[in-house]
Amino acid sequence: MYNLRQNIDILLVLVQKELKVKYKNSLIGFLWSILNPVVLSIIFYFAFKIIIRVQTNNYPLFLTAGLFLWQWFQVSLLNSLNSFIHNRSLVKKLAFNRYLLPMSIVVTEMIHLIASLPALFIMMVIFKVQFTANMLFLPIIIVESFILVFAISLMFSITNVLFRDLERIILLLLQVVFYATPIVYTANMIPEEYKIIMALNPFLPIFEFWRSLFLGLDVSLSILLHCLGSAVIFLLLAIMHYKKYIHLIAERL
Amino acid sequence: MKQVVVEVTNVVKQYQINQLAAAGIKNYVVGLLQGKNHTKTFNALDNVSFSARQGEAVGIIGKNGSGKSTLLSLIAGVEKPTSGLVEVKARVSPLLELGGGFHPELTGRENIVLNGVLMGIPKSKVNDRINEIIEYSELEEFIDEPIRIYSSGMLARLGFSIATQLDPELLIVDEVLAVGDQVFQKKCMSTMLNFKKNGVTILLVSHNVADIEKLCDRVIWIDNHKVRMAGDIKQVIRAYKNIDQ
Repeated sequence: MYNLRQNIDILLVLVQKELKVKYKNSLIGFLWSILNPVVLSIIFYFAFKIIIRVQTNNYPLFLTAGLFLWQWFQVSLLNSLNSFIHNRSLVKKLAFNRYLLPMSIVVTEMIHLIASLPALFIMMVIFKVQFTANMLFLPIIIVESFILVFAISLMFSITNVLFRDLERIILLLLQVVFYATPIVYTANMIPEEYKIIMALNPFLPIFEFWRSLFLGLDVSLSILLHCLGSAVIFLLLAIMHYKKYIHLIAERL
Repeated sequence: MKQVVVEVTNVVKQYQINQLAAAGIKNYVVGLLQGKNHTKTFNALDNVSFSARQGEAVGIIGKNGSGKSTLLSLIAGVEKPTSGLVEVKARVSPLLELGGGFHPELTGRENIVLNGVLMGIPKSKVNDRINEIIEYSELEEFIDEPIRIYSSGMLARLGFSIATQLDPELLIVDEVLAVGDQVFQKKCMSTMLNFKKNGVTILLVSHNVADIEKLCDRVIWIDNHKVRMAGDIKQVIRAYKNIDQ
């Protein structure tokens, strides 16, 4: 019964709500969302560049670019996990489209990512990386990432209402995915025999493409298509999951 | 005859309570391995039918836990029936629980926008009406405070003001007015009487029989998850009171 315009209005108001609630508690909320990946970058820089001595050019830029993107994914997934539970009083009273709640979380965190992009551009200048026309692909890779992260967030947020202890499992899973994705290391460091398994990781091509934009490397359109393909597959899975279980959400809250 | 706005036909609502799933994945998996069935089925509504025409006010009475609130949730579209049909041909303005549809950290003003938009009203229209809503609620002094500091009476005022000042088509009121003060309850009653004249359909759950007599055209008595009696107010209320005592 809700049309597109109503859904957009609802999404915008929910995103505003997320931002307001977040910044009401602390004005430095936005700084936190930058501080976390920056501190992690410093830790990994010492661990992998100074101690293990990974051979990669512009490693600090490589790390920071990847960790900013990871921060978006991780915070979106963890926050949307409880999006129905935290908005119980909205879900139990009004019949709006439920997918808008996790979507509003992913959009809120996307705004944080976009707001912190200048930090990456400044690093590019410091490391004397050329800005190329490839940067025009930035919105496309953000949209593809959005689809993937929203799809996973939607599935997890529904499942978490049905099984309330999902959060522990997700925290563990996020650790696994973090190290299974080339974020602190490069994809070409993966030994040949593991490459096939690693290729199943839907995050891998996204990080590859994303970082090549900030490192001024050549980009491959086939990677961009790969990202789109896996995002769409996850979206279809999420829609199936949504259709099957969404009617249970209000009564199980 | 006016158009039927709410049509509930042979509705059954069952809740499946899986004790294992509620206790988490770990217990669920262990339980599956033990091969026991831990699902309990609970009947909240059993073959309930009723309808309401445009401009009608229908009262719903019954003991706590009889299934009234479940019925309203189904009509509001928040939950789905296990079997049977719920047809609603109007935009629903629900007042289902105190503070329902609000976020505690947002201010009264921000909650007006949130609640209105979630009801399906364009944001621009909510913003146009916001002053009327605040004025009706008489909460000017507190409207920019977070609603977690509001008393239950203030929450009821805010909820009722939003639901009524944004052109309701079908107003569902579930007992929330009981916490308001006498003056505000009177104001609510006269607003609802006015709406009725203007073709707004109203479903009112109340334990206050006098309110139902004043406002409603018909009443439905739900007892033990079934419609026990429906129709003329005086008859149904007399029977209801006799059983109660």
